[in-house]
Amino acid sequence: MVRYVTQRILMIFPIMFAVIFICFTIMNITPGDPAKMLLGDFAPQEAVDMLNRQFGLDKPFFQRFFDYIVNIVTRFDFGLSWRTQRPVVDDILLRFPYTFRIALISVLGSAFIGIPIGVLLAAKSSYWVDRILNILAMIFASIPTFVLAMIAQQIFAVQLRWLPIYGASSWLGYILPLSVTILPASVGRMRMARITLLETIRQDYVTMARSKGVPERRVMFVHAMKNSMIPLITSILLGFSGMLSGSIFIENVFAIPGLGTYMVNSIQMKDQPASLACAIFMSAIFCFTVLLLDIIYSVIDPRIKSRFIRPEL
Amino acid sequence: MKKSPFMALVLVMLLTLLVGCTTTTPTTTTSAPPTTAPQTPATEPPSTVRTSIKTAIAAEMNTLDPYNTNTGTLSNLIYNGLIRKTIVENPDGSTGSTYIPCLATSWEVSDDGLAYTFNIRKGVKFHNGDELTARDVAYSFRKTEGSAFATAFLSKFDHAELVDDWTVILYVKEVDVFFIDGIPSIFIINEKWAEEVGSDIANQAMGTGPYILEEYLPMQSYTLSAFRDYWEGGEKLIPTLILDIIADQTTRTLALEAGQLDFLALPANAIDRVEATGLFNILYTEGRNCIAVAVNHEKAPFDNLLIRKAIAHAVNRENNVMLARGGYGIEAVGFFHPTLIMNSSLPDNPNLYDLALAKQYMAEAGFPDGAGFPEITMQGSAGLVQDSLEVLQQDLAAIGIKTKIEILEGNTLGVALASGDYEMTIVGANISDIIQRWWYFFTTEALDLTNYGRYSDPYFDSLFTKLSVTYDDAEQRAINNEIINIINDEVIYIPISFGVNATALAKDLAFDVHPSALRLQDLYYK
Repeated sequence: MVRYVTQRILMIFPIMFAVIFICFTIMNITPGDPAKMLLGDFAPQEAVDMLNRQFGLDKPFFQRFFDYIVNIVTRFDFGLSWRTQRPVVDDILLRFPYTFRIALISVLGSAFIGIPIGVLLAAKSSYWVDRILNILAMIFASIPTFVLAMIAQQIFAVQLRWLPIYGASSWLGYILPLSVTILPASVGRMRMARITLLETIRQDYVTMARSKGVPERRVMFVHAMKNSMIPLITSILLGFSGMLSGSIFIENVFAIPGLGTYMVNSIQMKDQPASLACAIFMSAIFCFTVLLLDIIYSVIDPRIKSRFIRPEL
Repeated sequence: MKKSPFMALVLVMLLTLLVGCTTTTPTTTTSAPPTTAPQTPATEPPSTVRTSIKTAIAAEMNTLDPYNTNTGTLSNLIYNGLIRKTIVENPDGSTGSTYIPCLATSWEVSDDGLAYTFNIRKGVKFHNGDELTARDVAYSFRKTEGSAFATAFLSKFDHAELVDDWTVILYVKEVDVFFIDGIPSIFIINEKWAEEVGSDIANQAMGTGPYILEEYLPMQSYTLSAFRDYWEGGEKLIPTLILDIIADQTTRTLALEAGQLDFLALPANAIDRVEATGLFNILYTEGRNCIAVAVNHEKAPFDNLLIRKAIAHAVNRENNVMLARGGYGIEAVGFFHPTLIMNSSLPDNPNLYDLALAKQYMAEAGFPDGAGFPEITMQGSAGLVQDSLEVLQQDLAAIGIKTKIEILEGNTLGVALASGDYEMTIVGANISDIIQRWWYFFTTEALDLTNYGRYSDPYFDSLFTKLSVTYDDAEQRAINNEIINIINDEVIYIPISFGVNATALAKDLAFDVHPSALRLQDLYYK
């Protein structure tokens, strides 16, 4: 197991290096002058050149890339944000808890709501339930999140005035954004749980268990559920990772001071240190999510691990 | 034992959900507390009046360091400059603007134009209780050395010399009449405080302005309190002013409708809805940013003056105001708003809407009713420019010019415009009071910067150079007029409209309206 995990961790380093190189290159070839964007269109060339020199943009590409990598490896220094003049690590750590909180509660909330209902519906499958479920799923899948957000804001904040329309200064501020993310995701999880479980309980080994007189609850939760776990866990963990990097819309609409807004602002302003650090951070999270998935897979289904580890002779 | 993976997962989910639900205290950065006695609100409002007023801004300041940013919403509340601009009525009845004293009571320029002597106001207090002296002023200007942001305002600044406690001289590298235009943008800080905070000036702010920064929650809000000892008097200031950061325009407007904000600048499409709530008064002010058609003079057929005149006469400004700005705009007969400094009594623009004349010019250019005229690509950005391009498309179709519209991402558009890789566009000309910056719309030097018309003429360039060394008002006005005449005659840009800004105000609030822009420091309880 240790060897398997070590192998997977070692694979992360070349991936991260590739991510850094690609992002660094993209930041350098995309149009726009960072200094001019910060100073404004009408800044004299003298000021633009001065700021670009301060950013080190007068140095050759590979020298800048080399310096960047050396600073990260030797000092864990991702540089100062060109925009905020603060260390980008400080900026990220300041904002990440908000994004993390939204992502975590959304993913777990949708799992807690969606999976039990999905399991229940699989156990009590019926034509009408299927139809209603499909309609619900279609509705929530097809309504864009921003429409859902606006409807929620209009009803619960503007009309009823029950909840704040924006902000993260109190837990009340989280209710609307979380509702907007949890509701559609719950329907998705519900469908997935139901479908995977239905597929599993039609397998021969489940029929065999039933014919041997194993109680239905045991058939469902021990025999069928365990083998339905892999797609569900994948969906939950990748959903979590996706929420971390894709929560920009929710953060923007509900004015939550998370990482998504910071990342987009940094990219728009060509704030290279901040954009790169965000990209590295997000890809590291994704890599570790996949690593966690691999570990969980190998625990649930040892056959998966055996594909990667050569048997010792 | 076989149940363990599932049960463990459920346990982990429960635990993490509990952890995630707990509210952590957001990291805060607060300005340095005053070293003197705690400040009290400038006025004790009546018991029925709220003590705090809340509004929203679209973005936080990149940094609180006043010399490393060019966004001044917050800085203007916390700091003062040596002088400030105000609107005046010219002898001929037109409006214009001029500079009036602020932290400096008076100033004079040396005969050789290389030294600006400022006499500093006595009795002005910083938020920490220290008294302002010329030493702070000299220090502030020295802090601008090496700052690209300050250089953008004061490119000709050389050095500051402290004469005595109340006099400071600013030297310039070469004569530049418009050096003075950059002075209001340089905020004066307290030397002792700045040395104490060092690089943490990016997270703190302390000046002589009407409001004290009490709390800054990154990406969330700024909380300010009225400065009791403000040198202009703090009687009317709002005791507590909260600026929440809400990036999304729709959310800002909904927050206002929900009663969670007390005043807000409104987009045109929200004015009627907000007015219908009956909770707010709507205040209208004229914007000075002109949107204008820019044709690439370097590319055929726009190198033909007749074609440029035809387009200029085809632009229906009334339509633009109604359709692109929803009626909240003013037709622009000239590129420069009348209230810009030194811009009074401008010559009239002869290229106004006249469809018959436009068709006549097209025929004279060899394209009667647009026959044989190539299809034109108009590039622009989303929003007002896109809406205006769609209106322009119809205007041009009326004289037989076929066009297609390409909407580009901001950076891509910027590169296309700077490199001259476009045929026609609409630009939002953010004309500031700094006349020096007008060069960047017209001169050869700015061809790859912001000279969107790509017009280049040595004589025209020389007028701007001459303007920068001419002190006499009458001579300046004569040069201005000549510049405007050339702009009109050569149809360098085709002005379309100025905006009208609408601001919703809670019924118990009012502004002392500044004609050029609403300033938060002018907000008060009725």
